[in-house]
Amino acid sequence: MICFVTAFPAEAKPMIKRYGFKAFQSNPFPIYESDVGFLVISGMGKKSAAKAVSHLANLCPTNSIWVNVGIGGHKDSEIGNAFLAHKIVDLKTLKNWYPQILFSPSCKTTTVFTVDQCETQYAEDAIYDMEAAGFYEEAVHFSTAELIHSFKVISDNATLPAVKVSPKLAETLIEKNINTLNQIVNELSLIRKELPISEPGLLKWFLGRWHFTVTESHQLRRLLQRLHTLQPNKNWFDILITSLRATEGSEAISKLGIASSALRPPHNDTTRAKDIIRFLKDQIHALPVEL
Amino acid sequence: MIDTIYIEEAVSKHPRTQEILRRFSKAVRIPCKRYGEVFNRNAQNFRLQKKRPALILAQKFDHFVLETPPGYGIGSEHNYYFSHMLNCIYDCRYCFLQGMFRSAHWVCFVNYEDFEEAISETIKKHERAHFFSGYDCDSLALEPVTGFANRILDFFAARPNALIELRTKSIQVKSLLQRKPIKNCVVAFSLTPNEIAQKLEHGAPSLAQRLEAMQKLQEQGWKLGLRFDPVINTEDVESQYEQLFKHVFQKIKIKSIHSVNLGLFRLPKQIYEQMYRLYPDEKLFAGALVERNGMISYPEKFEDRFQNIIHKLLTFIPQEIFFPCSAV
Repeated sequence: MICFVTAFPAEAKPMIKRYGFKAFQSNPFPIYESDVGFLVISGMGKKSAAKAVSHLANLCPTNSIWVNVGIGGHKDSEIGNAFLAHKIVDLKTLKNWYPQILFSPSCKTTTVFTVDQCETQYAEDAIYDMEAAGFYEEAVHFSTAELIHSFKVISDNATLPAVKVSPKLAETLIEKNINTLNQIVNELSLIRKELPISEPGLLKWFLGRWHFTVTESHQLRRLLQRLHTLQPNKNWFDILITSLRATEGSEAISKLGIASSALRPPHNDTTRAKDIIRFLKDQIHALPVEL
Repeated sequence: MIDTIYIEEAVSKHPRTQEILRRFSKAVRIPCKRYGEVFNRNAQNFRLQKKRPALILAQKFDHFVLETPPGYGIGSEHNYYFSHMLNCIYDCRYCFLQGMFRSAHWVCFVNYEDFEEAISETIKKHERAHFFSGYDCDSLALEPVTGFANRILDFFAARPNALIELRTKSIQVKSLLQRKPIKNCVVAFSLTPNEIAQKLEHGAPSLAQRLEAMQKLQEQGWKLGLRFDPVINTEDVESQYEQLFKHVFQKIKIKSIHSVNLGLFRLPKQIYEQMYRLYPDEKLFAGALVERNGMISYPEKFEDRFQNIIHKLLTFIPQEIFFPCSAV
């Protein structure tokens, strides 16, 4: 899942075209959806960017890829140059963040200073923008630093200051760098695949059949995860049923409501959860030791 | 090898920093105020960062020398450890560093002189003391970059009442082979059966490579330590360790060995939990482990196997050089 965050419609247009985004929601922020994920147009400023991230996060799983795409100014870098941020500083609060770049982007990396007003002085060797800090500070609540990035294209410098940047120019500049952005997105997708899947597939079967307290649900999730790691081809739900059938007979099975998938056991049957957890633990201890 | 270097502003002009930056002239340089801004941040993933760790050059201000945990030692009453680096270039799956640090980046504290001063003050307190390097890192793996071991050996050469252990899996022993051995240094190698090392010690030199390095050190007169720690349970663990011992003691002479440790796989619970979160797909963490006294280790039923391994080891070495690691 990739979540693009951009300030203006003009900046969004090249991504909408490239990734086939279609309108999904318009309030409180315009959100677009496609096979790759979502795109949100936040409006100008770090507070807007933060709010847009927070809103979009409701639609995205944890550890999604987040990319802030936009234009920015630099004292002497050429118009149209693209950069990935390796450090983001909020120049008002002096808070800073370090996006973790675990690949070789096909553009340079640099520091991004987020300012509250349009920059005209460009004092430091850094990109000046108005969203990155707000975007990043919020996005780290929903994902990990290796998957959260800010991609900036130079739209203004000391020779061509920001006041002269038109929406058409912004769109053109992002369009010219869409392949570079795509390379970054592809790399991030590969990195994202390195993260393990945390939810064991059989969990819902168990939770759907018996009542587990919150603590027991956590224990169950962990046990099923461990069993899946140790013996990925086994269906532990079926194994449990076979074991129960062998030890307790069909009466117990029907009491459990397993014989008919339409039946659900009474929710006050709390002892069964403990038995199941004990059963699964015993299975782990009985398995041969493998690395 | 190193694509990104974070540099604390305070050490940006330090000669050691400058030397490292010259060595990695193509690396991206990112300034920071303190290494913790990068290293200690929430919302970062050790597992992902292990794919491409950065180097962080920093200054250490305090806690240069710390007492070892109780039961940790190789024959002295007074035991201390120090770490000029945080994190290791290898990626051993059982390593507690994965659960201890938020970041997999390598931190190098360039102010070696301050470490020496702190060690010197500690030595003055005791007639004899042992110092362990390689608790939070591998002592030698980045030696060509840091030059730390070479420098600290000069320091200890002048202080014969203190012993230094350099704990390593590395074969970066060139700087040791290029100097005369010092009597109060133990070069201690962590060793695991081949079958286990291949599955769990990602990126580390093979057992054969480590033994070759040890033989070279032995020939020159360096004292060696054998660290069979952690012992990882498998169905064939006893025969695997028997083979390992036979192999090791064919190549390493008893008279070259200062000390031997052997310890069961064990982790503080909190560290294990973090490691499990990072690697829920790792069989080592999914198998039969239990909690005892705040530590995660194997169930008691493994104790017999473990004792058999100790008994087997003691057929190769005299009891007086054996120092078992603390039981759980």
